[in-house]
Amino acid sequence: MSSKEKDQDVGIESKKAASGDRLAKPPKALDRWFDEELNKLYVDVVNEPLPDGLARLITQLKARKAT
Amino acid sequence: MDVAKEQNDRSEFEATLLDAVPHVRAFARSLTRNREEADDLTHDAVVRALGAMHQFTPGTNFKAWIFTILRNLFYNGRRRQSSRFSSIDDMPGLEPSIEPTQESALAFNDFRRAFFQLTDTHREMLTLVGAGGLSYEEAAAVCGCRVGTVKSRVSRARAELKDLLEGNKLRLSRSEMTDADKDVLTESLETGVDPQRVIGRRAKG
Repeated sequence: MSSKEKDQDVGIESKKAASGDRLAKPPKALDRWFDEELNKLYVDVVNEPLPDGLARLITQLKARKAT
Repeated sequence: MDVAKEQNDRSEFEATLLDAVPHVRAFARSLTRNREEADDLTHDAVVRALGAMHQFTPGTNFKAWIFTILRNLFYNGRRRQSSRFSSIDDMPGLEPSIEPTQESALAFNDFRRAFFQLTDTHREMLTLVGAGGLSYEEAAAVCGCRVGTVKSRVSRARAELKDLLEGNKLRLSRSEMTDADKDVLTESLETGVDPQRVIGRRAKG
């Protein structure tokens, strides 16, 4: 399939997508969008407060460093 | 060995480990798709890393090293488990934890659903190479495969994401499920078989 045909396919399919515009992007823009969303997903967890069990473990580690 | 140097090395190692914990947790979440399981896995990986300090070569990528520990724990644990989720309620939450605009909230929620529907291999590859910041070579070392395999898995993962989003193949959230959907999911949980295969089996009769 030529890149022109691929672009046409992307254009047609974009009308079907529920929230349309993001999937109409050309491949590199779509990859960038995937990267941005992946990063949000990842950073979301990185920024979460630690659960009690892990927080206790970290506190113990920090206490050992201080002594 | 010089005691002071050993203490210094340990101190440095533990500082690096502390910094890595949130990232280990993020990788664990992408593997397990379950908050509690991810936290347990992270805890185990940190403890394992502390015990294996002397196996780490200073100057090499610490994140890649501990990601390898975590990944091995995950897959070893999986082999012992019979099902992917211990209950329907263990399925990852589909609500975003941020407050973006309505349009971007819809997009992010769809992306999150699609991501968690990817295969284990595809999720881990996108996390390692994408958000995790590892090079292809480092990701290959973590996964015990060739660089070419990493590249092709990343490419297939992106294609699978696009297919899920474009083809409206996203799975329902719990509140949208019919009784038939819940029945399929219950069987999936009990047997460890992917829900789509359960549906396929039932269709064949």
